[in-house]
Amino acid sequence: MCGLQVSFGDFTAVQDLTFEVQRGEFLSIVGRSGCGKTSLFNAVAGLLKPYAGTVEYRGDDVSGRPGHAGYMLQRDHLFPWKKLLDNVVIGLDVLGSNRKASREKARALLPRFGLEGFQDAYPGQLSGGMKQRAALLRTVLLDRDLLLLDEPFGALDAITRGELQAWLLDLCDELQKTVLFITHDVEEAIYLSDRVMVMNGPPGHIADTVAVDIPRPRHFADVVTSQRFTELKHRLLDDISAGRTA
Amino acid sequence: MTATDVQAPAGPSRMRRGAQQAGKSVRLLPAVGLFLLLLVGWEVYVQVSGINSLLLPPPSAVAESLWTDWQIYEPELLVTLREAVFGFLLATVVGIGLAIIITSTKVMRLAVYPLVIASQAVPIIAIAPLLILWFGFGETSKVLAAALVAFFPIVVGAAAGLDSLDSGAVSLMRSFPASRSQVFLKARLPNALPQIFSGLRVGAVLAVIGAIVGEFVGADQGLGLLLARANSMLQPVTVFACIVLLALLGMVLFLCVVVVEWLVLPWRRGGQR
Ligand SMILES: Nc1ncnc2c1ncn2[C@@H]1O[C@H](COP(=O)(O)OP(=O)(O)OP(=O)(O)O)[C@@H](O)[C@H]1O
Ligand SMILES: [Mg+2]
Repeated sequence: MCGLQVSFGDFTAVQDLTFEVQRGEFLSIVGRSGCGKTSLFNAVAGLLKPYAGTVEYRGDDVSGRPGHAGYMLQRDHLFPWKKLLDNVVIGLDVLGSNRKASREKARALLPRFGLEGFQDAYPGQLSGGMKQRAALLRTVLLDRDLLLLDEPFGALDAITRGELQAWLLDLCDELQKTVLFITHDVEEAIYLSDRVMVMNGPPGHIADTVAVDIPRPRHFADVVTSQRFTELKHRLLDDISAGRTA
Repeated sequence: MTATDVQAPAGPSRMRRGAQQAGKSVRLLPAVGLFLLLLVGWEVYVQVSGINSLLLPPPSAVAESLWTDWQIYEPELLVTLREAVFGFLLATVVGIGLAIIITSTKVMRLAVYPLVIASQAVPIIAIAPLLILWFGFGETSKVLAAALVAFFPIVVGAAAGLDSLDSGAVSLMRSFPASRSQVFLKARLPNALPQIFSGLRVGAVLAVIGAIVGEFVGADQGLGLLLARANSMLQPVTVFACIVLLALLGMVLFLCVVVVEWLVLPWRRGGQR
């Protein structure tokens, strides 16, 4: 990404933003509500044509051309008229994969996503955490190397959230994907990431980038009580509040 | 939905469905009870007050007429039924088609929607004579009258439904990436179905009204014609019998839509309404 700018009419949501993400890296973006995080993702996913700047993926300019990333939006957007199994394979159906094969593939992954036995349930019959996991499964099934996760756990209670964080950490170890992860929660960002970017705005810009040098595998209780964690958290919180006064 | 539903979707859901059906027949009781009560009150009033039966015949006479003269009512009922059903089907196709056109682009919305509304501002009673002039006294003009009345709620419901897809869902689809037509067929259209059916339910009842208005204005057959004749010939029993049949006709068409809706939208069966 270089010199990215995203505008809606006269309103500039993201301004002159440049960053790079390595293959296999878990990069979090934290920032206050409305600072332009989702707009940035929409540009990275190719859904929004940037007003200025380019989005490059493996050397190709993909600005305004979707299809390279698995994008999990802020809300689950499961379709109420589809059963769970049909919901999670919708991406593959759209891409024209063999319907039977993709359903088999999805069925095999249900236990890993804690959804075993619910393939025939409608979204209205699922709990909030299950819907988030289903949305994540839908994203993972696309089998893209780059995942964009927009506040996947934002709408959940603290307990479910903690469980899903640990579970996502495991899953990422296993899948070895490149992950861009948006969150409001500084602790969550440190716990999960290799690197954390602080975004302030609007217009959205990067205020700071912090490498998380806490070794893996990580255990939540160990991580959040460590000295290094506290230092990092302090720095990130300072960065965010600096954006407010500026 | 409660936690128990989520944990064991197979077992309890069947029980719940059984309970729901029982609940539904219980819910029918008040309507049936009120209806019977009104009938009894009417009968008693006519008998006790000694009112001229030309002004208000007793329900027993109406029922008797329906029973003994069924061969008179049946062909007329079938004509009106056919007009209403074909009018409704025509309205469904045209209504959903127009809604798709209206919601396709901003220009189309601005161009087409005002005309759709204008078509409803003119009462059907004013248009029906023209339809009969153009298409004759046969069923065609009545089918068109029925369609003209019924298509409006269908257009409005379908357009609102097609508009109601969340922009996030569009983003999701496009990220796969889905083409415009895939977004429409796999997301926008199914998402609109509940609202389309709301429009269809209203349209089904209105189609009967349209057919009757058409028959009133000019027809060679149909319940509306029978009704108008009976009225001018001071045969109140026949008038009331026609009214009963029309009411039943509207209810049956409405119920047909509800049944189709139940079959087509299985995910809406539990709760909601
Ligand atoms: N389609 C749009 N048209 C106009 N303005 C928009 C649009 N989408 C977003 N914005 C504006 O851009 C700014 C950034 O929005 P964005 O959704 O990127 O915020 P965010 O950082 O994701 O916030 P949150 O954490 O609450 O999700 C906001 O001020 C918002 O009002
Ligand atoms: Mg957002």
